[in-house]
Amino acid sequence: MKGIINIDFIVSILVFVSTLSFVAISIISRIPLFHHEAYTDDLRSRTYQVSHLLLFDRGWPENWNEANVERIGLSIEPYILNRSKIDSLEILCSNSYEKVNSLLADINTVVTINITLSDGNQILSCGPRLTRTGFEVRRNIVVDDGVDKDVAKMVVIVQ
Amino acid sequence: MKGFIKTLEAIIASMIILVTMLYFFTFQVSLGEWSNALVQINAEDSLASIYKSGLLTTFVRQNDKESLNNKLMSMLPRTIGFSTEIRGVPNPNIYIGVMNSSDLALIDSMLDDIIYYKKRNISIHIKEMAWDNIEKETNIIFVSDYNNIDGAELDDFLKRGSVILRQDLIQSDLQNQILSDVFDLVWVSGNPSGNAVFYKYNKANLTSFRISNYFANISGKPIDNQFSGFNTVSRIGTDDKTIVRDDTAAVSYAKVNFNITKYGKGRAVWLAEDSASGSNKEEINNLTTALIMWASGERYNMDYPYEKIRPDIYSKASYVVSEEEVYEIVLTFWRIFY
Repeated sequence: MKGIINIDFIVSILVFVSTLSFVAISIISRIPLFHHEAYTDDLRSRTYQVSHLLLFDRGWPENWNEANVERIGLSIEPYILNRSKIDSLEILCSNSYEKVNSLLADINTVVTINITLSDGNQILSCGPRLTRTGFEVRRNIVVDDGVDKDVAKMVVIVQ
Repeated sequence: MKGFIKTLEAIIASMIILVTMLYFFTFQVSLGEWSNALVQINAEDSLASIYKSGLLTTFVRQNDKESLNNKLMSMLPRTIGFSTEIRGVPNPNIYIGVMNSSDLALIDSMLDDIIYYKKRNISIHIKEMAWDNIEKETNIIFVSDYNNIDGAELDDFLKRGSVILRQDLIQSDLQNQILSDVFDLVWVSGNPSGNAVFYKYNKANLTSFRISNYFANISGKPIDNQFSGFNTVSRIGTDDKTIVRDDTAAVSYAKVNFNITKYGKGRAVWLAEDSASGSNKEEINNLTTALIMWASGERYNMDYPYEKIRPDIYSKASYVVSEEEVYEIVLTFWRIFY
């Protein structure tokens, strides 16, 4: 029988190769999951970063408007947002949303910002209606219109 | 037989490889802390924005628990339960318990029903009760004779409240363990005059600084005010827990103790008796009021409609307000569903 492969040997090889394949497939199948997690974490941190920028930064120039804005920030002081800057952002969004998006994020992400006063009146709606699920951060803020201060809610969504 | 062994070897080898590889390449995708972080951010934002809008100051000044709770409820996610506490200012309602009618008459004669302090009204409620039936809201037990103190009940009460003793003491009294353990009193020699001043009132880390400021704000007198008319029977030594001392001898007329229980709670005040009258008596009454404001615990709950019981797992967010009064609002919050 010399020269003919033993059937037992073939079975052994098959068992061994099957095991290796199973382990390899198990490892490879996890990669997309990790990639998704990493992507989601990145999206979350970007969303938080954008909300933080709007909430704690005055922007540049400090008294910016829709014509001369170089960096978007809505704050007068931490947690207090300037109503006129919110209005400027609203105008900027309706005229050139791409500019807003490029100032706050990069071309691969889409940012949506909404600000609603405590009486339910929405004073800012900036960005497209999102078709996919994005990551959302809700911040409690104060809007100062120069006369009154009102507690409001800012929602930042990035996808 | 030879082939069977080869197959068996292959199976064993495969199992070893399988187990080894799966051991080293066990993937655990953690859920992450984003969810908790966002709730924490939301809680901190809520406190900051409610203060910056000016609402917190109004709610605290007016002790408007309902509005504060409604506002926080509208700001926090609906699946979050919460409880709020104010720390660092006298309680807006101070409940004093007394154990007999003579103590009731005594403390009632020394205090006003309402104290106006830094744009806040502080109400004083005095009620007679029994040691074994101290009412839940009681902040302070007032006694004029340490022999009337029930030691076991006092130990239990100090876990949540304070005790005030107004009594002249002689040396043999100090053998009583309550006076040393609870009130931290030590007998010394000296020749006091009966005239007194606040002890180191410019040292901001001492309780005397705090109480002298309470006194100054409710009386309109300076913090270096001189008191007259204290009885000179007691010879209680001075230390950094002394509030008022004799202006010549190292003898205390008012002394506090705090962190009495092993849980770091419990406050005690000892105050010497006096024979003052007129404006001198009025100043000593204001001193008593200031001591009671401190003994109130300087922390109170702002839950509405009733004090909430927090679960085992909770988080906290706090905000320090620095206005006419410096205080801290602490928001304890927890998930209703897990």
